[in-house]
Amino acid sequence: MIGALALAVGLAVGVVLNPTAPSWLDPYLPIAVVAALDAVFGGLRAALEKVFDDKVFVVSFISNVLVAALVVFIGDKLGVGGQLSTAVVVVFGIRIFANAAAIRRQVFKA
Amino acid sequence: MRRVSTPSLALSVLDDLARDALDPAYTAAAARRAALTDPGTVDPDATEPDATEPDATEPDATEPDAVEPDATEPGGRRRAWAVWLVLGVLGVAMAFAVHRQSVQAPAVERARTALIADVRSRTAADRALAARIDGLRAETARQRAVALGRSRSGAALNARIAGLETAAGDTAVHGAGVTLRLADAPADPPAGAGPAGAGSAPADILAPVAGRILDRDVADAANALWAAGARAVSVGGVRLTATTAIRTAGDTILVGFTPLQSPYDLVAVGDPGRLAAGVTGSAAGRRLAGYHTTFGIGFSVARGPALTVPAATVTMPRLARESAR
Repeated sequence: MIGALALAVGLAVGVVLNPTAPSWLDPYLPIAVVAALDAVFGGLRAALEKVFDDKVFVVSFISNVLVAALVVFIGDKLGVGGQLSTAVVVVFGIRIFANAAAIRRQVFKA
Repeated sequence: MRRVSTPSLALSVLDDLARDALDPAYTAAAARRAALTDPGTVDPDATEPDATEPDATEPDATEPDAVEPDATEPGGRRRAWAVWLVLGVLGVAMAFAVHRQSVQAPAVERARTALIADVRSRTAADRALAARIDGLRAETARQRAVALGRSRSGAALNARIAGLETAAGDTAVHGAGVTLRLADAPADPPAGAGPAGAGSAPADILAPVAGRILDRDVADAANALWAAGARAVSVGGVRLTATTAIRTAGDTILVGFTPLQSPYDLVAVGDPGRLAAGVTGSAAGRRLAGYHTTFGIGFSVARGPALTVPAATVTMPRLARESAR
């Protein structure tokens, strides 16, 4: 609940500041956001299954973002940045879907 | 729990991905915590080995306030703040990303549209300037003719200028002449158009490829017209000057820098009778007439009483010398 509030506050701050992200962030920002969303869905599911742990969440969040950015960075250097970005999105997309499905089962019992 | 018999590596990877979607660290941490605090009242599901199987729906995992107990201890409170901070950062990052997508991507599109509009307006301005140059040149020529016409030597100079301008292609030329039309053979020529058995004949290296007119044919026809005494020649509306090249670029023939398509109309101003006879009697004319009967290319010469050969856009010579003094 408070987590959703924090998310909303962050969104509001971002919208109000009307930011222009520094251009060197351009390739990493979307991937990092997807990776972070994966961590958030994992945390939400863990909370619903009563196994949530703050430390695990924060660590998985930060490591997800860093690893995703690193993979894209290395891919850019190797000239396969686009493909690796796709791979990252596919992997995290599958995980997000799986976790969302588990959350759905928890919440709706269906 | 991992199916080792999965035949495909890719499938097993995806399988694992969906199966371990919930970070196993969560269950491990929960088990550790439960063992630390109070082993007696632990939720049995958290410590059971099959609790790592996330797809199983535990019947008693419905209580929503799973986070609250930790928040009461001091370390847990600090960590809860870390969770909120991280989520807040995520919110800002999402706003950044969405903003970038919704503002910068259209900006690229806008820049492209602006560039296209720029190109169009510059091309139009270029054309307007070219038209203005033509008008000014015509005006200059008129003024010069008037000024020179006042004296006897000036009049002689006028006549000489007129002759030179015609030769250089600087002015349009009107008069009687001939129109020579060259055209590619119809799409399926050799079957019907070759009475001489074009299919079985050995391939002539000079023959048009599949009945196509080549740059060489157009150039030969133009040279034949010059040789027959043409005063001015245009191909497809492009005036030929001393520096106009007739060449092939890919599949099209370029005259000067203008791409042309079949049919190619060569308009020549001069004595129609001499021109017609000269062209049909020339070597090039006989060769083209032969292609006409053999391959079915279009080749015809028509006399015209009032033809117009347009002026060329003459580039000023960088180095010019009077040939005779």
